[in-house]
Amino acid sequence: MFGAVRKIGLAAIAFIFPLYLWRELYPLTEWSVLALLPLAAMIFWTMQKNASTIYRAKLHVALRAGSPLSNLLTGRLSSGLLAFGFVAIALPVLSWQALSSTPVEITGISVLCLVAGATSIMSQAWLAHHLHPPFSRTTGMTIGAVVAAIVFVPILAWINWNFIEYPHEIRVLSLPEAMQFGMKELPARRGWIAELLAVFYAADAVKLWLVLKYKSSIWPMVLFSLDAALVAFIVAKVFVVLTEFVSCITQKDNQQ
Amino acid sequence: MKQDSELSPPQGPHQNPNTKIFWRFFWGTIVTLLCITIPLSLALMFQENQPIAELPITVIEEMIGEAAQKAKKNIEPNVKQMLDQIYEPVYAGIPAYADFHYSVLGEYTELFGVVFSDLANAIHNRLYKGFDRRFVTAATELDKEYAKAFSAALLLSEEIKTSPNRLLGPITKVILDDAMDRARITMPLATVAATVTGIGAMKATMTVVAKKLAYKISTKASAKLALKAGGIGTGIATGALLCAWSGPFAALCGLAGGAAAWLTVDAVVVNLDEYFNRDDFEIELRNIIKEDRKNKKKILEAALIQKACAMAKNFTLEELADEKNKQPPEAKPLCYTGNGEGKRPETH
Repeated sequence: MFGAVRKIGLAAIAFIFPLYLWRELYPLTEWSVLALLPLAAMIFWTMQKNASTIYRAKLHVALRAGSPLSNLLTGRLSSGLLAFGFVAIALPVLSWQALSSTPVEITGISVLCLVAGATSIMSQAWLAHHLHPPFSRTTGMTIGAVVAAIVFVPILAWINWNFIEYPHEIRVLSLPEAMQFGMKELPARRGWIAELLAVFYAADAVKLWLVLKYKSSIWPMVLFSLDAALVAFIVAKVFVVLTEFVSCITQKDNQQ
Repeated sequence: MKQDSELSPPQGPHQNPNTKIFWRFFWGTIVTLLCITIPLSLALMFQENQPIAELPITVIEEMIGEAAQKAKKNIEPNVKQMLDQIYEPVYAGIPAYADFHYSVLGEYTELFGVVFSDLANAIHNRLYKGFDRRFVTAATELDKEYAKAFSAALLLSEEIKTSPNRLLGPITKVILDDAMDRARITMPLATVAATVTGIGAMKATMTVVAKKLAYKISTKASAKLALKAGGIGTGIATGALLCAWSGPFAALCGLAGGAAAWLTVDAVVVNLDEYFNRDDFEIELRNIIKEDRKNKKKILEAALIQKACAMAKNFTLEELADEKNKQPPEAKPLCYTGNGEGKRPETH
């Protein structure tokens, strides 16, 4: 029990600290991106390790012993690509969320992280009785992330619906103006990071503009809230990955 | 060498006419383009001194919020002035109302008013006549002054003031123009005034005033009864003495005598009451009106605060859905208090 709490606590630090630094420093300098590098490295390393373990386990079943293919099919490339792909999607989304989230959203996301971590650890412990280690671990991680995300999507949508304030000014703008207006939330100095994040801000502004345009129906508003809450899947997955990272590190420490 | 001759225009008098036309058009085009480009470049240089600026949303929101608060601050003293003006006829009507109150007719009108709950109308007609119209007109004027003050404050915002040469971008302009329009129509004080002075509301106000007066009137009436009993007793004795010799008209004489005695006693009592209590009554009436004025001032000031806060108010999806259902959003704290809960954080 204490071990689980410690894992979740350390994962929370590993998750929150880089994003907090990024949120605070980005308005000042582009170098703030360095704060995200440890987070990216942790996610990449864990994802790559998990994917290659699973790959090897499958290969162990599929490949005959002594086959020369075992030298070629190591799973490094595919797992590396998978991990890179996930980092490439998750990191911009997380950095955008870190910049644009309000205190109430941050609270909701923090609780989601804790729930995802706890669910993941519990499912891994339960699955350990039924599946072999690499599968029990990765399946437990997936269950933890998906269950937490499914539970929290309506909660985050509700938070978005009730507490998040949108600027009144967008009501008077045309679609292109609304896009520019959204991008205006980024620092005036621009730079490659701003260009990357501009996509999220512009997309958000466009969605909000469409909601205002079709406000005679409640569905665009509901979809907008749900869409905003979909970030729960990425956040939950990242946190579960970080919990796994902490597990690996602490296991290694214990073994030493 | 051959290459050079191919690149440069052919020299000498033996030029092909087509080649001549070509070079004319060639250089003509270049000169024309230069004529267009140079003024444009100069214009651009001038523009660079007045760069077009789209202000970030957070800055615009802050500007609007500050301008709304400044406008509120500028208008607040006008509320007192406005109330002074519209209550002036009410205060001026106090002596006239006291005259009415200290007359036999007034006494009976008020007494009937107390009994039949019609005193509020009597007070409204004599003291507050035309008050509702004056109040709404003055509030409309306040709305206009607020909109003017808001526009002035917005155009004098630090952000614009510090770079007077900077041209505002089209989006910023659209937003600022919209804000100025909203200053006119957001939570108009005139609407609040109309609600406060509406038939039901005004009747409620007058009822409050009437209740205070009714207590006084009924107390006075009971106190007078004893006095009247003595006066009428004397009247009966005098009447009996006078009507004894009137023969068949004794009954009529008695009726007239009784009525005369009753009214005489009333007149005497009312005059005595006026002599002793008129000043106190006028002071009391003034205090009641003063209290009413204080309430109206509070309502207007609260409306002004709400108006200023609503100017800087953003919206949630819940409020948007409420708007769709034509339901007013629930009363929530309206004021923008910086980078607060639920507000998108500033990135720059």
